[in-house]
Parts: sequence; structure tokens; C-alpha cells
Amino acid sequence: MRRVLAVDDTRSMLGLLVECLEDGGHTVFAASDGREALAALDTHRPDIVITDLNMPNMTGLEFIEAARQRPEGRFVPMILLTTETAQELKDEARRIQASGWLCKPFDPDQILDLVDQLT
Amino acid sequence: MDQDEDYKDLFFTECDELLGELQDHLTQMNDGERGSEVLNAAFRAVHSIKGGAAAFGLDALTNFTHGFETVMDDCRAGRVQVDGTSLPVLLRASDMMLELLEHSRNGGALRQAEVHVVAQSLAALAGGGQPPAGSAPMDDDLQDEPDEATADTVTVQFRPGRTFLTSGHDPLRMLRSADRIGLAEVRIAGDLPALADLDPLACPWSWTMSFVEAESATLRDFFSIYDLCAEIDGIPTVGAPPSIPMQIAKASRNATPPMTGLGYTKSLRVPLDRIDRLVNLVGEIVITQATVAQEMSQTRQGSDDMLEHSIDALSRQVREMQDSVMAIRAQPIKSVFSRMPRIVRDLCATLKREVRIEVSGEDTEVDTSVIEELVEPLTHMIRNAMDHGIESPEERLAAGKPRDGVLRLTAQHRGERVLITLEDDGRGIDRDRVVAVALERGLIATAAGLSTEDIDNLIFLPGFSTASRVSSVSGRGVGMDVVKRKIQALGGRCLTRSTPGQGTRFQVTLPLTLAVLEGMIVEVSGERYVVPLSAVIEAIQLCESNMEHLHNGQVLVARRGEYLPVYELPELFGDDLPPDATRRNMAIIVDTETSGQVGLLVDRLIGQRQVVLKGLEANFKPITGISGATILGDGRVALILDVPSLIERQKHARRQQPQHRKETA
Repeated sequence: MRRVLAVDDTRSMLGLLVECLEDGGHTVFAASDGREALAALDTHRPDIVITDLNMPNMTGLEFIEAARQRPEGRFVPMILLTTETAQELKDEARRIQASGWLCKPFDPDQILDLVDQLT
Repeated sequence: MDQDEDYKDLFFTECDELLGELQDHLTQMNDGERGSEVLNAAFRAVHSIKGGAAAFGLDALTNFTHGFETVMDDCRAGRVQVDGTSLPVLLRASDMMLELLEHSRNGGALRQAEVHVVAQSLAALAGGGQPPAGSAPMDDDLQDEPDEATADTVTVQFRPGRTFLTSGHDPLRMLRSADRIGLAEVRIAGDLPALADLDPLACPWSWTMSFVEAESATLRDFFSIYDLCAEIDGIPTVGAPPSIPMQIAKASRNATPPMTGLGYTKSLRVPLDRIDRLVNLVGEIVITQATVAQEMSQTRQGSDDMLEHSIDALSRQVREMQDSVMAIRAQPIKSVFSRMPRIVRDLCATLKREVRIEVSGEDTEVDTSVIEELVEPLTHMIRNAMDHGIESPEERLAAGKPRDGVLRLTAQHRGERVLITLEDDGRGIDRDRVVAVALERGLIATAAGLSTEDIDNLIFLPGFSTASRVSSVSGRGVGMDVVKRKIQALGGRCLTRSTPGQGTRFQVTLPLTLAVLEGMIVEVSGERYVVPLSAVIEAIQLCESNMEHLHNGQVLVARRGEYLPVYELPELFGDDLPPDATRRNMAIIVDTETSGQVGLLVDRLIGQRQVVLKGLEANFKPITGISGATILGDGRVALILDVPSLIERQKHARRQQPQHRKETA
């Protein structure tokens, strides 16, 4: 059982993700944008973060970049879950030390495997 | 996961919102707005729908939206010009998306051919005129691929990048996990730097990992997550390479758009009947509270400050509670208005008109029940304006007007009501024809004495229709009377004003809510009545010096230099004047919107109070001039006056009477 922070601004996507993770027996914290995620990171100290990229207020990339500057976020796996595929964005993700890039739509089993694999 | 359906419903609701936004953005573009903000926002709406559609396995919607997204991305990157060529395609695509969404939601037949045509025109746009490449396959290939290529032993070279650890990866965890998918052997390779040069957070070595009987797809899933932070070689490809459409989104780095105030607000969906129960209950509490307060004030002798204070606080809180409950039911009128541009576009094609619609005041909040009932009359008004009001482009040019007509749809709060205006710049109402038709159909006895405004409003009479041809759009004989009936059923009024050659304006005023009303309670001949406070201007004392009597019996009151007609309530009800009529010495001035300001004679003012409206329709029958009833604090029933329609009725009666006399003379 892991503590997972799920971040997505689309309520249905967030709902699916949270449910999938909870079905996998994990404790899930949900946030709807980067800013909330950053606050949740401090409060809940998750073992792994799965975040959307395009979000209002603070994007997934901005969030990870900010999170890596904090002790709470330094070695935590942070996965971008997105429909974006642009190489520039991936390059940016690498630069800010995102752990991985996962394409939507996601397969629930794949997500659960991933949590097991990385934590 | 049986909750998936719930999320799907939520997704559909989100799609409705997103499509509404998309329509708005496209309409803005259509109006000449080409800023990156609006382009990004439009892209994002399409993008979000695609993401969700793919997640919920809605293939038709996903494939179509994918092509759309490509074009929108090209638009925001400037590869495709947003102009007269591309915009119609985008608009059609957004309509088609709505159709596909409906199909996904409710099933039913899908117009495959049309979908294909629109998809092709999108593809043509994206390809810069090249033949359509068809919709690109989606990422689902990843899951659907056959796993036939299972190699016996696979050797993978894994070279972690310098940021492998700082990006949150852990070599030990990775090796343990790899063990679960068939890792047979791992060897370390690479040169260790001198201890002094060793960066504890960098990984200078690489691993050679041998897997036995591992499926290629499993290996690819396993390693793909390290793509960003390591170089990986040796994973066998299966069939086609993972078809991640790299070319789709060459998004600029600042592509994540600043959304226009559309912050995420947490929300909860509640069935309307539960809220209605709450509204009713709160209504009852308001009445009970008023009763209690009144009884207290009667039974209590002497002053009891504490009790009085508590009662005041209670009534304030009850009032606040009522406001909060009503706010739950309020929603922006946008949900209705946003459908109108689409209706206009469709009608343009059917009617061969060129019309653009300008919408403002979409954020005006109105009660849900009102919103739902508004779609039909509004649609009908727009149809009417486009069919009868706005001329064909040729006629317009001949009349020296711009080729495309303009419809202006606005909403604004006006006191306790919402005012919706629809203006067109068409030919206006043909008054001669209206009078001729009204006479012919026996709707009026004579045109004498009708003001131009009266004539314009004849079009609301049942059975009135000037369309000599029956078109599929608005000329079926059901016309503006249906609109009027619908609006009146909502406690609203509608009227029209037209300038020949320049256009017509329809005004609809509606109550913000159908449940409560801020009212002034007055007493007339021992009966209590409620006048909507929004209509009350002031109360004035009457004396001989400020009153005038006309020869026809009409009484006028002077107020700051102007004379206003004053009426006896029984007179408005059609009763004979009571003998005590002249003794009334107070009048409240009421704004009727249609007939200017009038005075209403009363015996005394009781006070202003929020009253819970109980419809007469459900309990008795509708009566012109009475919009409902309420129960006062003392348990008495008071009628709620609809002064404008009372005055209208009175005018009508007066008009009829002299005419009858003339005819019989």
C-alpha cells in the first residue's frame, strides 16, 4: 500500500485515476492543479505522484519543477500522465527531472504495475 | 469498477461545458478575434475532450476529435490560418463533435458519411491541402498489439542518465521490479571515476540486463517509464513501433494556456427535486418565522430586548438561508445563450440569410427552472427574427444595409427581474400588413386608436401569422403567441418595438425565481395585497392640491411636475367603485414597464417583506393580474398583484367600451 498523489484538472479523469489507485489498495490524495498538488506534497508526503500536464494555475511541468526544489519532493517518483506527445515537452520534462512520461488513456493495471515498479 | 458509468456521466457533463466554451471561442474567432489566448483555449477544449473520450473508449469521438485537435494545434502554431476558409470547417467540426458526443451518450444512428466528410475537410486543412491521411491511429495500439514475438532471451542495455536518481528513480527498486518480469541476469558495465570525482547523485555505470521469457510488450511497458531519464537499447519491437503520434502536437513550450477565469470549482450534482424540497421547506420556515415574530409582538407586554434581538437575528438568518438555497438553483443564462449561435448558423443555411449573432450578459444568473423553459421561446424568437425580420443579403444590399444582418441577444438583471432583449436590424414590422391581417382574422374590431406600439404587439395574439408562405422554420401559424404564452407561464412579460426599415426589438422580462418575492404589503378596504417591491417606486400622500380629475373619471396625481394616472384596485379588478373610494389618501407609485408609472390607491402600507409565492394555477386557476398568493405572518392569505397586466386589462376594457358604444349608436 502506497501513498499516491493524483493530480488532474479534469474531474472525470481525476475520478478514474483515484478510483483505479484506490482499487489497487493505495491511499490516494487528489489535487486539481499544480498549486494544490504542491500543497498536498507538503502535507501528505506521497510515495509517488501521478500528474496531468495541461492544468490551470500551475501546470504539471511547473509543479514538478517546483516540487524538485523541496525536500519533500526530491526523490519522489513523479509521473506525467498526458495526451501530449511533443518532443519539446518531453525534453522539458527531462530537464525538470520528471520521472516518467505516460500517455493517456491509461490502462488501470498499467498504472498499478507502475506504482509497484517505482515505489 | 461499477462507478465508471458515473465518471462517464461526469465526463459527458464536462464535455457539454467544454463544447460550450469551444463554441464561444470559435464564435469569437468568427468575430475577428485571433489572439493566442482564444486559440489556445479552443485547442485546450478539444484536447480535453479527446483525452476523456480516449479514456472512456469512445472510439468514434476520439478519432474525430484527434483530427480536430491536430488542426487546432496547427491553428495556434500559425501553420493553419484562421480565416474564411478554415473557420467554417472548424465550426462544422465543433457541431459534428456535439453530434458524436450525443451519439456516444445516447446511442442511435451515426451519420457516418457526414462524419467522414467533416473529418476529411479537417485533414485537408491540417495537411495544408494534401490528401487526407485518414485519422491517425490512437495510442490504444499499445494495448491491442498481439504479443506473438516472445523472444527466449532478451538483453537490454540500460544507461541511467545523470538525473536518474534526482528524478525519483531508484536502481535497487528497478532491479527488484525487473526481477518480477523475468530478469535472469544483470551485469554492471562502465568505468568508475576516481572516488574524488564521484558524484553520489549521478550514476556513471550502466547495466546489461538479460530477461528470459519476457513478453516484448511487458518489457516495453516496464522500460518506457524510464525513457526520460535513461538510454535504453535492445527492447525488441513488436509489429509496428509504438505508434505514438509524435507529429501531433508540436506545442510551443508555453502552450499551457492561462485559462480565462475558469478555475476549478468543486461541485456536487444534486437532483433538482431534493433542492425543491429544501426550497419549499425554507419557504415554510420563512412563513412560520414571520408568524412567530408577529405572535410574540402581540402577546408580549413591555419590552424584552433579549427576545427581540433573538427574533431579529433569527429572521435575518432565515432570510440568509433562503437566499443561499435560492442561489443553489441559480445558474448563468449562458447554458441557453450558448446554443443560439449554432441555431443561427443552421438557420442561415436553411433560410439563405447571412446573419451573425452578438451575445452579451451570458453570466446573468437565473433560476434553473426559468432557464430550462427559456430555450424554446428564445429559439422561436430567433427563428422569427431571421425568417421575418432580417432580409436576404440581396434585399439588404438593395436597401443600402450591410450584407449580413445582426442579431443582438442580451441579458441583464433589472431589479428582481431579468431582462432579455433580442434585437435585429431587419426590415421591422410591417404595420399595415399586421393591421390588415388582424382585422381579417377578427382579432381586432378596428384599428382606430391603436398606437404603433399596440400594433407591433398584435403579433403576439393567438392565431396571428403574417407569413403568406408556410416555411419549415417559423411560418406554421404557431408563432409569437406561443412565445408569449410560454413567457407568461414563467411569470414574465414580452413586448416588441419596431422601427420600419431599421429593425425590431423583443424584450422579455422574467422573474429571477419562481419561488420567492420581495413584496410591499398594502391594505385596501380591509384586504391585504402584495405588490412586488421591484416595481414600487414610492408612496405619496394624496390631498386635493396634488390631484386632478379628468372628465372621463380618470384621476391623476401630480408628482414633481408630471401627472400620473391613479387607479382604484377594485376598479382594476372590474368591480364597481366602493363608496369609500374618495377617502383613500395614499397612493403607491408602481412602474409597469409597459405603461409607464401609475399610482395605486391604498388605505395604508403594512410594510415590506419577503413572501413565498404560491401559484394560483396549481390550487385554483390562473387569473390575469394576480401572479399568485402568499400566506402572511398572521396566517391570512394575500394576493400578489401583477400591476402591469392589471393596467393592461383595464386599458383593454376601456378601449372596448367606447367602441361598443360607437357600434351600437
